Amino acid sequence: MEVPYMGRILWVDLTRGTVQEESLPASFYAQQLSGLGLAVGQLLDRIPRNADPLGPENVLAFVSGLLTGCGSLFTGRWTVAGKSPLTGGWGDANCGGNFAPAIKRCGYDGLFFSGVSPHPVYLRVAHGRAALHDARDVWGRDTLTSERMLIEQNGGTGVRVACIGPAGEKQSLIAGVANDRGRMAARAGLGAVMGAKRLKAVVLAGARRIRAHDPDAVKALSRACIETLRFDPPFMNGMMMAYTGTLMRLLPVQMAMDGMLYKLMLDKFGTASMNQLMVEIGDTPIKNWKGSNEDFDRNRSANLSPEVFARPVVAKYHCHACPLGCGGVMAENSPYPGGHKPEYETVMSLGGLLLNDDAESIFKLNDMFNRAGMDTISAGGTIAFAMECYEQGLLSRADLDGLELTWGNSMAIIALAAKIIAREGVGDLLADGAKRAAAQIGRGADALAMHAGGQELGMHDGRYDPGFALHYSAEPTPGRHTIGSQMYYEMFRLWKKIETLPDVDRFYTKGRKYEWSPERAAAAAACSRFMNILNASGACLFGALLGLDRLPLFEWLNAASGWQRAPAEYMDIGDRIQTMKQVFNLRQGLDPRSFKASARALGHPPPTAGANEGRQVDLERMRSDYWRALGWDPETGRPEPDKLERLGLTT
Amino acid sequence: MAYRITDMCVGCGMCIKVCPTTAISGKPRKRHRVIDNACIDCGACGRICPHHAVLDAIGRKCVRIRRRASHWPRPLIDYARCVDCRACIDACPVDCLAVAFTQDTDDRRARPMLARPSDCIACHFCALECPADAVTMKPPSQMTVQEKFMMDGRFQE
Repeated sequence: MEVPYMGRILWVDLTRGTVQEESLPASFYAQQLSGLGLAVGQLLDRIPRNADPLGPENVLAFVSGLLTGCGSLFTGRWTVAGKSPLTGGWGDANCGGNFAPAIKRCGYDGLFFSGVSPHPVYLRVAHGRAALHDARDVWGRDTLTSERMLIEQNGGTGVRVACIGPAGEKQSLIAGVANDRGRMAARAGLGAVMGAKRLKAVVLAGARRIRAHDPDAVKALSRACIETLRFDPPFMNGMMMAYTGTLMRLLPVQMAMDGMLYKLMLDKFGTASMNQLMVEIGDTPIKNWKGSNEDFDRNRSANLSPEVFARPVVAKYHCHACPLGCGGVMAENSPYPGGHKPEYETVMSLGGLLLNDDAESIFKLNDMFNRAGMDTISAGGTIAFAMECYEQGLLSRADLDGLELTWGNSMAIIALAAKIIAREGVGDLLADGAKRAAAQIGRGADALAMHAGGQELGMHDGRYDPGFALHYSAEPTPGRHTIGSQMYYEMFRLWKKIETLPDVDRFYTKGRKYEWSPERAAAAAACSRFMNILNASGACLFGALLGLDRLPLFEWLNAASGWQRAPAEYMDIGDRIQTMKQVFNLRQGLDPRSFKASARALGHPPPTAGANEGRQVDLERMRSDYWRALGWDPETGRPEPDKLERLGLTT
Repeated sequence: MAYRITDMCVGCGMCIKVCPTTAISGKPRKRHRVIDNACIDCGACGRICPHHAVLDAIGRKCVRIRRRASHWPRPLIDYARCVDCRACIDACPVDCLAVAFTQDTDDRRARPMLARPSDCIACHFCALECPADAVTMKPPSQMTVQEKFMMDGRFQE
């Protein structure tokens, strides 16, 4: 029987410079899928308690998805996982690009790195042979240059590279891992783990076929999915989106978000399509989360309109197996040839969050952080923190090495970004994220750092959609905007496949969104479980946002693997992965309650103006209901003993 | 699963030259061997062997196809079906496909095309993995003039 997984993983001991293959039984994949499930299944027991995330005990995993390369769509994401140095708990980050199929084409489902190398190395896997090579000549170079050099050194064609930049090498805790000219697995600071291990890059040249149990069935599902994506009416522009956002803010009634609408936006402008829309609705945090859309009105946000970011783009960028193509490759004659255009999160964390409406500076910063291999969300959040510290006098101009770090001063932002990347002067203080910088500054600076468990928050406001606040604060991986929210639940349309899950109304009054009910907790738990399946399959959130009736994920999984499972059975696997991540955190001595997002982001005190005026999030209540829905203790977040027993886990 | 070379082999070295993963070893005029671990079942050795000395992964004897005079099938991309997902580019073991940017400024896309036709080893991987079924394999000797144009990536008028 053909299976979509390769059945083998590669262990690399960087201290001794040895590589070793391990075969995994089919039962492992049946229980965990691949991707995130594979990583958490292997690392849970391999990373010892209280391991130093930057030390030799931490294990770094690069895993591919179960569906990657099977002929399914939206399934080209790879995941990097390990113990996060930023939160001290489970860390995973995923990324598109072209690396996911390369892992499987080399004959492995995952590459696992333990130990610390005595000098900079990179792993090269080519046609059945894996070995570590000296990386001293690429050490210190930026991600784009390193990638180009490594491709040239390894034959020039058919080579796929994931690497870190100077930020990861300097062990900045907000560093990520880059692939395909600056696409980034950014969150959780795993670039720093790679830097601490002195692993500059992973270079893969494999050409194995990835098979599926029933390739014709997989492709038939893909063709049907492509047909639904062909719908493309020609009517959108950026300013129209801004007015749509204003209208949605003013209307007392809200329409449940539909994936097709989002698809149209992504298709035309990529994630940048949300730039003005989200500011106007009130979903974008402004001015380090204390401002509102009134501080960043349509006239200002117009400078960051989707069209501005479409201008230098020569062609849409598609990750592996993506029919949509939300990225953009910048033209050779633009200032940043061959780079990627800034995404929504980047634009807003370096734009609205800093009251910066200078698009040129955002292009520049995007390029700087992509080259450095740094998480733009965390970098933006940290700079916003520094700005407010300067405003409140906690950081003086001398502390900032003479930078006039006022809101929206784009030149000062660029200068500070360069310092953070190089870890010079004040940059050294800020390179490890807002939480650690606040601890060093003291004098109440912690109240100004917008984070959850150390992870800077994504650019979606929990005071607009309380689901974001919940998932920022209650997940084993805090501060992520990519796990769940009430809007995501509306778009996933999980109830179409799993009848026990609550349906949502097509139209509802605004106030309803802020009414909490046990149904909402069940929906949030379903989002978390579902995202684990998605990450284990290697699939993309944006694909899932089309709705499960349009993206046949469960059908693909059955056709590719030959299993005959109901969607609810897959949700059990997602639940298992979710609990394993929580158990990992508990074993590392973390209190799940400590991941609560900063008070301001939860509406304490409530905003006094703008779209979210007076909104507060009753997190305690939401969180305990959510934890109960997952079978965890509602007070402490520890999985209940009977649940652990059922899953065969111990804390 | 891997290909095998039988004792019909005369050690001419044609397969070593064509193998994309350097999975075949052997001295000239001695019987060659396939390294199991590196073989990707692309079948190029079987197609090129003049002595029919190669057995495929399930033990069938491979049939030689003349590579000269364009008898090896090459990918022909139907751009009406193609969704630019790059699965074919990532599937190709010899990296003979690449993206080409369309010139239309209203619809800026990076479309796959056969950039290095002479590198193609007719492995069919691109056609097998294409989620949109947009790739068909056809020997250039049997293609129409329009199809040849399309194969060369001249998909715009």
